[in-house]
Amino acid sequence: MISESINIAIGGEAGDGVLSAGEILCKVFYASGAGLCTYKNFPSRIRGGHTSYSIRITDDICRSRSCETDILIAFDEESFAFHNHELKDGAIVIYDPARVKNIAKVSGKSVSYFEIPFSDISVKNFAKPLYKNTVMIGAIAAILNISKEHIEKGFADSIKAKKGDDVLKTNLAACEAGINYYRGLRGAGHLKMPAGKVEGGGAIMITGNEAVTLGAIAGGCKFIAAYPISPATEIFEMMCSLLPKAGGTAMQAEDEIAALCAAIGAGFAGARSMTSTSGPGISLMAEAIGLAGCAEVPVVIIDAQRPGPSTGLPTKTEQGDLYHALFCSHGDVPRIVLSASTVEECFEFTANAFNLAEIYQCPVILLTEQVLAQNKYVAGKFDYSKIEINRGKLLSEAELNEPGYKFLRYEYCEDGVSPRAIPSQAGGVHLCNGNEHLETGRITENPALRTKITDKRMKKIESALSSKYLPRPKYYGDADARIGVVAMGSNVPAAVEAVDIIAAKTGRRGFKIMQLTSLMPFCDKEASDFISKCDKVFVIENNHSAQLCGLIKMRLPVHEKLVSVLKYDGISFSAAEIAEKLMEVD
Amino acid sequence: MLTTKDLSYDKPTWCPGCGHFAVLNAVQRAIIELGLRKEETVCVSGIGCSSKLPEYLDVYGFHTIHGRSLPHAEGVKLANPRLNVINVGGDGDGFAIGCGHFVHAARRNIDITYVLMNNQVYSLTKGQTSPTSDRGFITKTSPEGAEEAPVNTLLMALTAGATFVGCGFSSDVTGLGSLIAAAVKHKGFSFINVMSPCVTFNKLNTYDYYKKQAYKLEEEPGYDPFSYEKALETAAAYFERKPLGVLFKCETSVFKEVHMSSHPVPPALQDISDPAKHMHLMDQYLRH
Repeated sequence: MISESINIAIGGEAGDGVLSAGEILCKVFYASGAGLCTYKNFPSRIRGGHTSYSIRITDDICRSRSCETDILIAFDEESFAFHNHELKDGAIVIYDPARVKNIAKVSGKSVSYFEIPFSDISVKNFAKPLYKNTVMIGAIAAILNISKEHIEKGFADSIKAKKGDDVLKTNLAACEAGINYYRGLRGAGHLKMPAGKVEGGGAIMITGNEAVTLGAIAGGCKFIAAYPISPATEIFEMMCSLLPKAGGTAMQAEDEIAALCAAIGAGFAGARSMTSTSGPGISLMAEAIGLAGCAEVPVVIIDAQRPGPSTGLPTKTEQGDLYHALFCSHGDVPRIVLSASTVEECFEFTANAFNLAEIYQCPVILLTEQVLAQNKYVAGKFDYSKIEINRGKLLSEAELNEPGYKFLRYEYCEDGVSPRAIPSQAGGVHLCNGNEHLETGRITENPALRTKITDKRMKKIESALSSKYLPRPKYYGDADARIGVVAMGSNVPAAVEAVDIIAAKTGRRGFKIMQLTSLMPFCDKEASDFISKCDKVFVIENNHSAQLCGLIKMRLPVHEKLVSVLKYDGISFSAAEIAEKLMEVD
Repeated sequence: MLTTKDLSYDKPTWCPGCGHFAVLNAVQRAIIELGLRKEETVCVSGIGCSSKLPEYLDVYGFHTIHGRSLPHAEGVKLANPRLNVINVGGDGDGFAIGCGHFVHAARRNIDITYVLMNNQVYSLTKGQTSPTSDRGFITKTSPEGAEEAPVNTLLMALTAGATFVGCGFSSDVTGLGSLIAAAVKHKGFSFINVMSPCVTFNKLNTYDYYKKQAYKLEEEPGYDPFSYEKALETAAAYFERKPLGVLFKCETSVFKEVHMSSHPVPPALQDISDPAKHMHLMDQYLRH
């Protein structure tokens, strides 16, 4: 549990180097063994526009952003407009007079303001303004009294390998200049750095996109085809560099349609295969998702959600693709839809998505969100021993050629799952078909057989409900509580912390939380058990149309108990915001 | 040795006299001529009369969705480069809805073969104008005659970077069989435009129409298929004179050599039972 938390916000224009300075700071804090999560707020352009990088440092593992700021660094005047409302009592604000002429001070709170000419200090010492961000890091290090050892380690990890010893040395000197300048200021105060309880040796610092990629490699993925799109691009970039080292192939497709089609081709050929995209890409992939469903080809689709509709807000966050993932594509499409809420789940669910795709021979869509996909979290090292590979009813050549056995690719089976063979296997020659087909795969329009094979295909998803690779719901909070909270994705850790906040502030307990991890198939029984024991259930989600709430209503007759808590401004819920909503509506 | 009968499955549902019978037969002949194994041959198609070809061919097949067969075929080949991948389809499938994929398949130069069964009309939807229809061609969707310029598939293939471009005719099944065999043998993206008449919905571009315009490139004195300029010139004249044979071929690096891992076993056939096998990649990545 988190008991100490410091939040730093650095604001500037895109191009100011705010994001790269934030990355270095993360490494410094990470070196200290603290828990950490970041919140990047940046526009969809390369230069200009307000950018901020918030880093929350905690004593224990933390998973959700804070909406209260202890230290604000302002490179521009806009930073005040964006962050003033977040400033806590006792906060420290530092601004660079080079660009900040008018300071919009907050009233009613005790906030200290300091002027530090980051650019001038850089120019004076190093003949160019390039090191202004590093001077700024020094000021933060001084406020938090960060040890020299952690500073040096953080800088070395960020800079040494890429830019060499000389650049590292200059940066450390610039940081030192920042520390000294802050210490020389009159009335310069300090804040307590949370004492890191996170196991330093085993911990990693990773984004959701990176975790998905590592999960894919652990899950035996050997093929990816994708098209660059925010906020999923890093998955494909990382796969392009890692996959060939793991024996696989990456192809940059001409569009998302081709991306999924190529992935389906590779899946048919027998490679564990995937694509990574966001909502607009899923829109284009809709028809091919139906093909993978009809032709029963295993494929994994990662949807790092961003706010829609249309282009929407490419660099912001939302949970608006739930209905899209569940229902896109015409006809009855067997599919599995999962949602990950932490980097550990990104890793584990991705690896298991490949098992589910092969076992149930259907598309598996894993939903993440921009906030989880592109922000860094300190986490325990991923446990590879928990991952196992199960290829379902993929037959060996020996099995295919057993005397008396007649292979039928779409054989009607009790669990809806037919035996599978892949090209190159003798005895398995068949037609994989997106047209309605017979057990052999050959085209048919026979009404009775059409009904039968549709039943077979849809049966698989029911069967998947009992799979050990399908993530189960997770529960948090007070098990006997009468007030429930249902959430998915990044809202889950925020809700868990919200309940702690309520308890700490008001002493009130009595909330229990259910995290939904598999949306299709839906865990009717667990959800019904949970909701039936509540008087009221808050359903928290980041979209306008209350899609998660809608899904629950579709499955269970519990309409009158559900209260939607919604947010669709492109910014994720913080724990404090959820806490406020829970107390306000209750 | 396989026979065409071994390679046949079900009776085709094409209209009697349809050019596609000859294409099916020519594909079978090519498989036999090259001594390919059934299980190592994959025929991928989109949607349309011609895209039903894999229904009647007894090798691994994938009948996909309209216009998207090429990316599927590319995925199959990249997952297992040992497979012989033949992509078939019609002019609506490949040059209307799927035209974008064609350009990129050509420039990507993955080692697959694309046999276009070009009858210049939409047939499965019963007679509408196609992107390869001649100007003035009257159909239910072009009652005043097609107004748009027809796509010159050969020229497009050449300018998009196809490394093997040929043209065949359903009347000459022997020639077409050898042409497909040469295309499959070629390392890289090979494209064949086949004039494959629709006897039901296209009364303009008939067997006789094509016969009058067709000529054999091998009978052209000094025709050099390694000359890109000559191929461009030959392709540009396609609407007046229909060349039969190999217009162009060249040898260049194929996609797999540039982008794929050096692993000796194809991605689709590797042992993936150990999830921790590549754990070191995580450590390596996280260090940076």
